Amino acid sequence: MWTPSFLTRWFESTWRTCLVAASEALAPGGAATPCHRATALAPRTEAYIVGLPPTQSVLLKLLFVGVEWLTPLLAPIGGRFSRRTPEGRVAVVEGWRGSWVFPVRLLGDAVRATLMMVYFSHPDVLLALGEGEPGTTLAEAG
Amino acid sequence: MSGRIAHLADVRGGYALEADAVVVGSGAGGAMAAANLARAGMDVVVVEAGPQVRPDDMTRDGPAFLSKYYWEGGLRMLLGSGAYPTMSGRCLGGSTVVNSAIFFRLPDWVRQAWIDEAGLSGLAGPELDAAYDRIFTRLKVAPTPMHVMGRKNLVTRDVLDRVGVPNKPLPRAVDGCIGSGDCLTGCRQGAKQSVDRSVLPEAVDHGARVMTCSQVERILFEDGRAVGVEGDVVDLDGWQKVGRFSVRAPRVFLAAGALHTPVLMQRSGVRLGGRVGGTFAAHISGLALGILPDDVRPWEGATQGWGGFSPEVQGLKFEALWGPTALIAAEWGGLGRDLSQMLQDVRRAAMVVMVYRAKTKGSVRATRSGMPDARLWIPPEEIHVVARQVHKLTAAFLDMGAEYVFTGVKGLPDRIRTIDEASGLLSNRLRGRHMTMTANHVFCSCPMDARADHGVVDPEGRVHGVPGLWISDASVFPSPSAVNPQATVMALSDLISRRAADLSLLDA
Repeated sequence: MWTPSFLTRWFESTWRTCLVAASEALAPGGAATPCHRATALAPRTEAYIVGLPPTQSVLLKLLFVGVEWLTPLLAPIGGRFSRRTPEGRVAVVEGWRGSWVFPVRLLGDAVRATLMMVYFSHPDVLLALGEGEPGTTLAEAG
Repeated sequence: MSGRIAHLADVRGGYALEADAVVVGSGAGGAMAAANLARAGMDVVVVEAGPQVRPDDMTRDGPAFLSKYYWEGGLRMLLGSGAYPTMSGRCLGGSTVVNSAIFFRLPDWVRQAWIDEAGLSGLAGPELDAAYDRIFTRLKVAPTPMHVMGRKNLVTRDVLDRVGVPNKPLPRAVDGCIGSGDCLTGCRQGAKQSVDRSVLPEAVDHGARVMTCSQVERILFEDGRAVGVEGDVVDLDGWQKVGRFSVRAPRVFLAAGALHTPVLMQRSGVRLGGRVGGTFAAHISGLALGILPDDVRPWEGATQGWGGFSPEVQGLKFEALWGPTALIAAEWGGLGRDLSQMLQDVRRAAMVVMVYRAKTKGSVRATRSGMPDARLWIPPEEIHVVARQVHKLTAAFLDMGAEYVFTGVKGLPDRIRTIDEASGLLSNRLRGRHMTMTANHVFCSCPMDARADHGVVDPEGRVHGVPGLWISDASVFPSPSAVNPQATVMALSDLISRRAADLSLLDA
């Protein structure tokens, strides 16, 4: 069962599952806030991760696999990351970010940074902020 | 004779060249060396790991830009006392394409320290000043004009006034800046005088061949003398190696930056008893981000247009900063349902950052994949210096009516609403791992020292005991510059390459 091809499929599906779950939870959207669907957060983050240099790409995939499977160990009540409620997933990430244990904090910071970087680079989000396209002058921006 | 810039399509499949000099890296140090050597009549080849950035690629999609044009996709970290992002450009022009183009001469007290501690008596004369003069004139360095400040820079002015720091517009190498605030993802208008626009063209005009997408793997030696370099042609789409290259030349100039230059030397067997990469330093930093009552629209105006030096802490500099919001949001703001609050807050945000010449220790080692593994150790007392200044900035923001202040310091509230909530910044228990900081000013991994058994290069930039090999980048700084390093990297490289090419050191 644990053949190399099975492990590869498991690895690829696990990090993508966790990525989708994290995207849903971290950017649920609101009245004037573009949501993860409108900003294609999960597919854009996936494209970003796949497009990174090989070492960084693998590290980020490992990050999401780690988040999925370390959640039951580090935040015991509630199961794997993707099986928790969106609020529960946010609580997990925020909890890790506030941890005094440095590697745990890095885990939370890295998930947050990866998704928020991609979220805040979507044109709809920039529009919601009031930002223009690159090269906007002070006069043009009003 | 006119040279050319070779792009991926030209170098795919590999190449083998011969020249009088090969320069590794096309950033501040490499471009300067290439221009001087070519002007002296040498046949020069520049090899650059990254591609040329086209204006269409300069986008506010920060992650997309970083993944292509920054080393390690912009995710490189210095480990040690914490994990600190360190970002450097991987493109034609190097980090000069993606920095804020702030230009300062080396402060007199640092210059004197270099003279005293590393025996660099040559820096006492007029040659270094002449080099600065040439560079500042060529790159049109001038104080940031008021009409491109935007409100964020003026908020910094007001904050610094309140904390008692003399402040003024920062000098930058720009010509026709419109205040788009896009410095960190490249200047689409071409206003920033990055070396790919200001210096490399002169090298090409004098016949230099600039080979992009060419990542050097090692230095070639014959009978103990450097005789060239070899490496891989890399296609960014898929990060595939699509060819091998070699450039043979009796003069090899390393200008790959403080992280890659020592790695190249180590991988080529040049260790000099552990001194290559045995030292390493970086400016450390801190920040205060205030949410003011009125709109700031921090993405408008020069990226870093205002700043000042601390009158009480030597080597500590304050400056305004706003990069792509995507990068700021990587650390600051709420998640989930709190995200919408953050979207409303961003337009009222202003950030003041500081860089500090702390007494740090560090090292750079080559990993098996050929990338640098850099460590930086920051003594707690130096962290306390930064944290106390962050406390002052926080108080100033709150005094100006800020709704809250974010400092990124772990253990403190994400939203500091009263100065009492910032008291943790005065704690002696703070350590490097508690701080949010980037360390983009990196140096000292191959220090210049007159004594052969102390440094890596001599005062003329020649590697001790290795004929044919020079270094002309921030690696050679004997200690941190206390100011943005680009001007000094260019000035030292100017002097090193002029000496190597027998050009006058005192030309206007």
